[in-house]
Amino acid sequence: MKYKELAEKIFQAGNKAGMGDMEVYVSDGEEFEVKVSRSEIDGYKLAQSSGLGFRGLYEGRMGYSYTEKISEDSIDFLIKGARENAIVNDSEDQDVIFEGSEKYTPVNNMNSELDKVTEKQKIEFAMDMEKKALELDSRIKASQYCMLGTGYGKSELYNTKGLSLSEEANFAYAVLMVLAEENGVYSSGFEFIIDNDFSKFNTDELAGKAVKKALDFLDAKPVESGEYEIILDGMASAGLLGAVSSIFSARAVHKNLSLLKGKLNEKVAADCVTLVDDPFYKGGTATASFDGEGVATVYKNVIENGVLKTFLHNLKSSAKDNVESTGNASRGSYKSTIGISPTNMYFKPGEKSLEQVISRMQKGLYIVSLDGLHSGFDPISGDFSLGTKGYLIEDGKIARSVNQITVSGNYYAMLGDMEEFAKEIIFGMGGGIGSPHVKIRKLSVAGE
Amino acid sequence: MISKGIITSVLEAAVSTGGDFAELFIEDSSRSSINYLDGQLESTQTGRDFGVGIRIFCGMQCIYAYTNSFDKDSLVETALKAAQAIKGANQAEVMVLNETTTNGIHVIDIMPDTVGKSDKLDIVRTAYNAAMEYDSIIKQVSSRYADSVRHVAIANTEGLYREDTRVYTRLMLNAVAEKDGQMQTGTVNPGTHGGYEFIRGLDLKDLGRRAAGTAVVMANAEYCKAGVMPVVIDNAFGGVIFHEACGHGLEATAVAKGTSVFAGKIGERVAPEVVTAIDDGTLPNEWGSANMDDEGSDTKRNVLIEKGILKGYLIDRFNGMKMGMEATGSSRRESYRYAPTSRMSNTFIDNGENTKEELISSVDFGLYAKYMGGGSVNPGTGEFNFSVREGYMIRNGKIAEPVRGATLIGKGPDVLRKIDMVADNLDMDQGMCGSASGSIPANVGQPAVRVSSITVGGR
Repeated sequence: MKYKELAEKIFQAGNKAGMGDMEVYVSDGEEFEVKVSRSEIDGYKLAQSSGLGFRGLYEGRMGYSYTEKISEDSIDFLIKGARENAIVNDSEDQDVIFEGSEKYTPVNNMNSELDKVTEKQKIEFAMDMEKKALELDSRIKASQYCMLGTGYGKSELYNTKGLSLSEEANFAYAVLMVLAEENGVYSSGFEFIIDNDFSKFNTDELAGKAVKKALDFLDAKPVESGEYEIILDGMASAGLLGAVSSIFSARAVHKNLSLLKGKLNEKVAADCVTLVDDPFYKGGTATASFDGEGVATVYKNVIENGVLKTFLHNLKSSAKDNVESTGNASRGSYKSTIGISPTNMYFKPGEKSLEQVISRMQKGLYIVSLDGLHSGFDPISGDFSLGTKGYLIEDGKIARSVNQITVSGNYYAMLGDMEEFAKEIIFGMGGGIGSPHVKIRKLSVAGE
Repeated sequence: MISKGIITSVLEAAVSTGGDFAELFIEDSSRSSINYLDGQLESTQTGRDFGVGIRIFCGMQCIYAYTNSFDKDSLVETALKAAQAIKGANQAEVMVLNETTTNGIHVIDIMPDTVGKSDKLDIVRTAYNAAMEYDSIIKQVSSRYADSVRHVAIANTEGLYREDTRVYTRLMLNAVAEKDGQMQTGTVNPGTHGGYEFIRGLDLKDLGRRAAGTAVVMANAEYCKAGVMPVVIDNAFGGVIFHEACGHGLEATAVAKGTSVFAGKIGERVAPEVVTAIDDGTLPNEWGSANMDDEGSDTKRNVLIEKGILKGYLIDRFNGMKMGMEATGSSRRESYRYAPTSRMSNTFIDNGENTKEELISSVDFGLYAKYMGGGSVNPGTGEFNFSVREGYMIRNGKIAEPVRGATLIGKGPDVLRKIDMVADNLDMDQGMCGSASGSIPANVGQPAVRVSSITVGGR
């Protein structure tokens, strides 16, 4: 166990430099990705990466450092950096090094079958996916992105309080974005899958869906500006939820960056809204038995039937609020300092299919994608105004496709306007955040 | 960083299965960051990034591999593993490495990794206070600082060996105003491809006022009403519209695949005569500049559109081979983790002949976008969206009430054709541009421009 030995050496050096409790977090990863364009290999990537994050207390204050050059030569750099960072740390609440939880719920994020898929098969998959898309319709002119990737990651955590934890996961993803053209009008369609079960990867399905999405919008046009009843696609809803998810962090609340401040045990959403943080969701990209500080993860309802039940905590925020950590300490990578983030977070599904939800709508819009989430959405105010496309619904049926419109509203208000969730959770590309399709009372649409 | 002897062995391994070209990108960087929030340190980090990227061409095939290993055996093994993906007939001869220096346009006085954390923290704190003190409705300020000193070396089978040191320093200030339970934000993010002297030269009080000023104005603004109208987009970050809506479509990554709306249009009119657009990676110490690109070629000033006529694309070596065109010194990557590809550097619409006042007074009813927020675009369809960070209505040729929540949407080529007036107040601003080869520093810029008609989203 080479990293454990290195960690011991780092701890010894830290001790000599006057540091108190210390922790080492190491991650190792392998990645493969093939991109195809016009039936040729357009990109082919192999990677082997590792990095080491260090943190430790100096005179009671926490300092961080990291290195990608994992060797004994880096020890001085790590200690010196962390010590300097601890000295300037004037924060009134400090991180702590954790001694470990009593019990951890084991998770399994490894699928050994995935290792048996050869590089040749992966290349063939990507080639086939593009070929099928191009063959489906003559209006499909090119693939903008066509790729298949697989990877493996392992993280290890060691600290001077005797904690020694590790977790590993493998994954695969396929992404297809196609461009359709007709009479000088362009439209693109996108589809992807992330899973470590390669048997779920189907080129017909991916190509079919991406092509349909592109073709559907070749003859799209705006609708009149006004307020519309909305069905928000699960993927779009997951995107919004991901962008706003920091408002559930206790840290954001403490820092006055969440309008949920002071709303614990109050109604913050419609009755149909139950928001779950589920670290054990099978196949979830954030599935884990321990969090970034080594605290055991737990399943919880953040919002239950519209009532805000808890914020998300790490050790620092929970100490401030005199509660237990909810196991939501985040450590995006060895480069990150400890923060707070959800695990697999999703709205609890309802019972109806999308078709059933549509069938009961007189007039409205089914919105399939939201553009510009990083710019047109202010998670602090909750205001959003986003470019979007979708379908006009009339008399319970899809009437035509719609594009070049914006949809706007406020997320806090929208939580109260949610009327119904469909039955299937859809996870967004960022992984971890999901939502079923959701019916919303109204949103403002700008079009013609 | 890594000896030339080892580099040669790795290049030899990389072409051992018949590759016709191979390249190594070696990076050893130090990074430092501070996040100051709520009157105290939120987090600070010091780190070292180290890695090696290996790129192999075989005809029109490109293989990329990277590793954090640094010893000869691991590097050769990585190269051999990558080489397994190809079988070529024109194995490149590995030429003797001939070290050349860069032109060194970008002068660095104070290396930020020689400045202590407490000095940096003082700057961050002063900026924080300036924003916080601006107005009583400012409830929160995040003041962040980041620097990186990136030592890179590029070597290839043609005997090229070049080293460069890229130094980036940046201050990022974000202010939150709260009024009637609603929050609004304002931000300024000055940055440079330069040393710590840039930070020492900043007017922190003024930056604080600017970030907080937008937040306060927006907190007191009503929502923008949606509609189609003329829009005057002011200078500096306003250039994000050209960057997103047109610039990405001029990158060879999109052009070579034929998925750009600008593909095959060199020499054609794509904009009115008032529009000239340039990408210039040589501007001294600008955020998107570098001495050389990430293939080891000198950066250049590239005219993209001249008086409305499409003149050129931004081209990297690999896509240049596909397109049969010369590379333009535009190959960039976030780090050793990415194969380089054609990217923008400092991209801007050049000065026109009108004044900003003339643009405003020409509009009876429309929107004045003083500061733009970010946006995104689909390079295939040209569809884009941008948020307006600080906007005002224009009524009867005068700037009227502020409006919040405005978004601009449209299609790049359409909007480009609708730029009908260009002012003379060119300025640039700093952003991070995300695309195929990762997130890289890029300047956007323009003088104030008038777009005759655009869809404004609001409520």
